[in-house]
Amino acid sequence: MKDNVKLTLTMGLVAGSLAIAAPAYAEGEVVFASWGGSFQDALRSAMLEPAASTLGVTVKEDTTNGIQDVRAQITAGAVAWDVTEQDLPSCETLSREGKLEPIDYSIVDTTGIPEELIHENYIGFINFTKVIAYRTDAFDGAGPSNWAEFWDLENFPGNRGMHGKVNYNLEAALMADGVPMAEVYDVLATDEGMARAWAKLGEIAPEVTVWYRGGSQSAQLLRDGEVDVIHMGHNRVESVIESGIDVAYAFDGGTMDVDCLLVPKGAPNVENAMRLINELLSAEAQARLAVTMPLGPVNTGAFDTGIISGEQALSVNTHPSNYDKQLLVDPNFYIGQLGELTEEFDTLIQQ
Amino acid sequence: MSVAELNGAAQTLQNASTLKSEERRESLTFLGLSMPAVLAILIVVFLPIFWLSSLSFYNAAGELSMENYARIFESALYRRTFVVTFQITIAVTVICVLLGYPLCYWLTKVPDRTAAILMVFVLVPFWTSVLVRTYAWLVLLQRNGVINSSLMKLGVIQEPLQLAHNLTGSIIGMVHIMLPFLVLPLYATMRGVDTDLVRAAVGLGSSPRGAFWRVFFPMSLPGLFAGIVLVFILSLGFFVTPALLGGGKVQMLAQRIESTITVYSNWGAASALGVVLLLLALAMIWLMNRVFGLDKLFMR
Repeated sequence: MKDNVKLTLTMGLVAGSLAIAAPAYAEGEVVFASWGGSFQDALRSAMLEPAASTLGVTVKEDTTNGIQDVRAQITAGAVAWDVTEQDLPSCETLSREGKLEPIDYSIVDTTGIPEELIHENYIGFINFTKVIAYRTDAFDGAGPSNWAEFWDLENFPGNRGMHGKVNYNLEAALMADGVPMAEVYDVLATDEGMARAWAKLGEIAPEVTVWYRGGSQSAQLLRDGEVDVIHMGHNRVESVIESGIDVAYAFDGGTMDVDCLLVPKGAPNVENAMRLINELLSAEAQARLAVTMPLGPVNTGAFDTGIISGEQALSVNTHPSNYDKQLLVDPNFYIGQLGELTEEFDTLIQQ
Repeated sequence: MSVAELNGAAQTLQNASTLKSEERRESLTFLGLSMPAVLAILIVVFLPIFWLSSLSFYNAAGELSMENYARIFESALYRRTFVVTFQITIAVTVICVLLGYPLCYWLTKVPDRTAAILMVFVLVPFWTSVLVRTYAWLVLLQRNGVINSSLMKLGVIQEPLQLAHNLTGSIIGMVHIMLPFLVLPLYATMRGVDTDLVRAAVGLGSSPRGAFWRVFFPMSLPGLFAGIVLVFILSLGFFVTPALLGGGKVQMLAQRIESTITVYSNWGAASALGVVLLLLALAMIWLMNRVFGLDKLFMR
């Protein structure tokens, strides 16, 4: 509700300023919206402030709660944001709905960005990976480090923790069942493949101690020793390790998801938006963020800037030595069937 | 009113009509004074309920349909959610009665001062946030929690008991939160029971046990029923405790409503669940009223 009021105010203000201000003024600014909190604080110091001084424009900030905000602005005909960060399925959904400005690749330099993250109407921004992490004290130092071992309760007994939503779990089940990473989504595209994934997930489901809902909960479960092995955000695992707990993890079979940058259709400063995106994706900006928070730069050039130390680089999920070990999540699998998948998943985990 | 009535009896017939009109004016004044509250309830309770119910008849495309209700009755997931919700609610209510009744009875037997101090132990948790208490239970019940580690140190158990992240944990947490809702009305009623009647029964030859069951217990029933209704209705709509202590495996109706909104971004589907929950609660109140005669509680 508060956000709606804020949104309405912002929209009103932007509409007002557009009507009154001379075009010269509009050229001098760009509005960027991300998830707020400490994450956006990190973005500000690593990316937004340097970009503002390089481009000579004012970068205004707002926060988003997701796809519905972008839709609301476009439907109301009062687009307030020039650039916003959204998760991959939202970007793809908005793109299909024709609600995005195409990315101007004459301004946005894609050097160093993996091809699969470059799309006509949006582009990858930051990579997040969920990895298998285990407490070394529970497994004498050699715990489950791939999906088959995660599923293997005989040789790796211990409490399991998994993500309490359908996302990533069907993929994990297929990998546990021996499907090579590259074929996971091909298998999931068939009815037999889907049935196979559900059956495999059904094997582990009764043995899962906690299906966690939030990132902070996953970190607490691992820290308190409530679970011995868990599939959770790699940046959270790093913070648990930093707090002095003996935890090991590997990137193999990790599920990698991406947040993207997009420009809503009808954004007030499209050209500045493209210039801002170019800055946000620059090797230097991406490297500066990676040292603030252990989240993956999409621009592999970030590792050549000298900003990320050699040792630190190895624990970043998008480092070339890690990237190919992980499964990049395919948003197309979820779009249009998330509701049904969620119901089937909830039926499975419901006691 | 009662003053007016007493006076009325003493007055002559001539004064009766004056009194009647005064009485009418007085009731109008009271109605006027209660209008802000009545309006507030209309605006913050009935309007949203009406809006919510009307939303439930629209599907995702914004057309009038019964789709949202059909899904509730067709899907195995929703049926299971209803079953689990009722299982937990009934278990919590029964355990609260078994724990609360002896506690209240004992409180009426101890000296007033002691009872007052003991009541503080009931009330302090009652005033503490549900979220805080739920996290406290997590600390106590989890694998490396206080209870398991103490029992293992004492050698009572070899392997930790699975107390949290399941139905058991959810029920333990909810009983703790619900117990004061049973204790408070029940204790108030028990305090009002005339203990001389119990003594009289014993004096007339009843055994103490017989006096309890045939004299004291029936007189404490109104408070017990009031407590049961409170616990039952509040438990039906529980969210935080099963969400945190259920390990993601225990999903009650309120949690289903939440996930319906976040997954489908569809208020209609969630509203339908809300309406069903509301109707269930009303049906339970009606049923309990038929069985226990609750309306008599409020008419002395």
